Amino acid sequence: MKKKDINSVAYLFNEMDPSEEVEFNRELEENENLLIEVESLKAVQAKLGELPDISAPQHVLDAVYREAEKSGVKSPGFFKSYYYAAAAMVIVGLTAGSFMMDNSSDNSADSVDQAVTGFSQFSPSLDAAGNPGSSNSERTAKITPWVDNNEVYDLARTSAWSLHPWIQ
Amino acid sequence: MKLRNADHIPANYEKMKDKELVALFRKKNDQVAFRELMNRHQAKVYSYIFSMIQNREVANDIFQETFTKVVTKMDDTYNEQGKWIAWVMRIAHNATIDHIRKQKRFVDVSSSYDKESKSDFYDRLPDEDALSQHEELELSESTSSLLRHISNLPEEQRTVVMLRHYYEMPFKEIAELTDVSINTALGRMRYALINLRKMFDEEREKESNNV
Repeated sequence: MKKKDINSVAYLFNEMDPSEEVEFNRELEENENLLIEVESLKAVQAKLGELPDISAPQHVLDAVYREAEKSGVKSPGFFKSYYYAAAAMVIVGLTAGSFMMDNSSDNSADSVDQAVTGFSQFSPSLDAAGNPGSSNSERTAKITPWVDNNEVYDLARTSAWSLHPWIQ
Repeated sequence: MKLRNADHIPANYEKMKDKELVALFRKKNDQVAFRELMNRHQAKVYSYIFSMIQNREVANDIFQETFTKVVTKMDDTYNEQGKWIAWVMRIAHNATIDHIRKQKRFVDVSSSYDKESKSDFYDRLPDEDALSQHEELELSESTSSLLRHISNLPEEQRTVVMLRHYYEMPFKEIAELTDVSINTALGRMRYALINLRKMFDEEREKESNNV
């Protein structure tokens, strides 16, 4: 179908952009045949306006209302049971989670204890007595952290400039 | 919430938008909200189905089937961002077209395509039941003749005319619903108007010959 044929329908049913409408109006003024076609289509379109709204019979509407009531009764219960199940899952999850947190915090304290104890047996800088009964804080205070001396610049004696080979 | 009296709908419901009524029905099972939605739209949905099918009993069945799907599938398939009535209309349209296609499958007559009217043999068959159905609905003579002419239009042209008339659906939406381009939808409307004009002219000629 040609674009100009479609245009007459688009014009009648207000489906044109304002700019297209202005152009089409100009075309209507120049082309008498187009004007006749648009007018005759407009007359049929006006007839379509007489189409009635026909209501559905009452017994059909009643059947639809009954269906709506039935489906409505099912759905809240259905969703409520889902809500309860979800809430129960969350509570169980939270409870289990809190137990696991307690256990893991205890375990982590133990593991630190064990690690420090183990380390203290091999490290010369640790408390010579290696007293297993002493508290965590006492033991960690005595630990000298290991430092990789190759990666440390002695900034007290060298400046950043002097480190650069070209500047020297 | 149960509602026994169909006519009694509180004024505040009448002021609500479709979206609000749909939310009330979905979330609170508010039957008053559903009835208000039906009050607003049932006649248009029914008119569309009836004008496509031209048979009261079948139109009743399709209408009920449409709304059964609406109430059962609203939670699953309706997206609240879209217009509720456009969604309902899509269901009604699909059910109607399904029925028409099923009916056509049972007709065992060789098809002949008429290029001028863009219709085939089945589309041009006059619907003999149509007149009695219109009489049953107590429609005026001019209205029933209009409906009869529309029923003689090819299915795809009738669809465009009805979707536009009853839903003021933009051609872009009609094109999407019927799975064609917007130009095809506009073209179908043009052919429909031209065909209707011919039918009115023929009717006028017959009347003048009788006088």
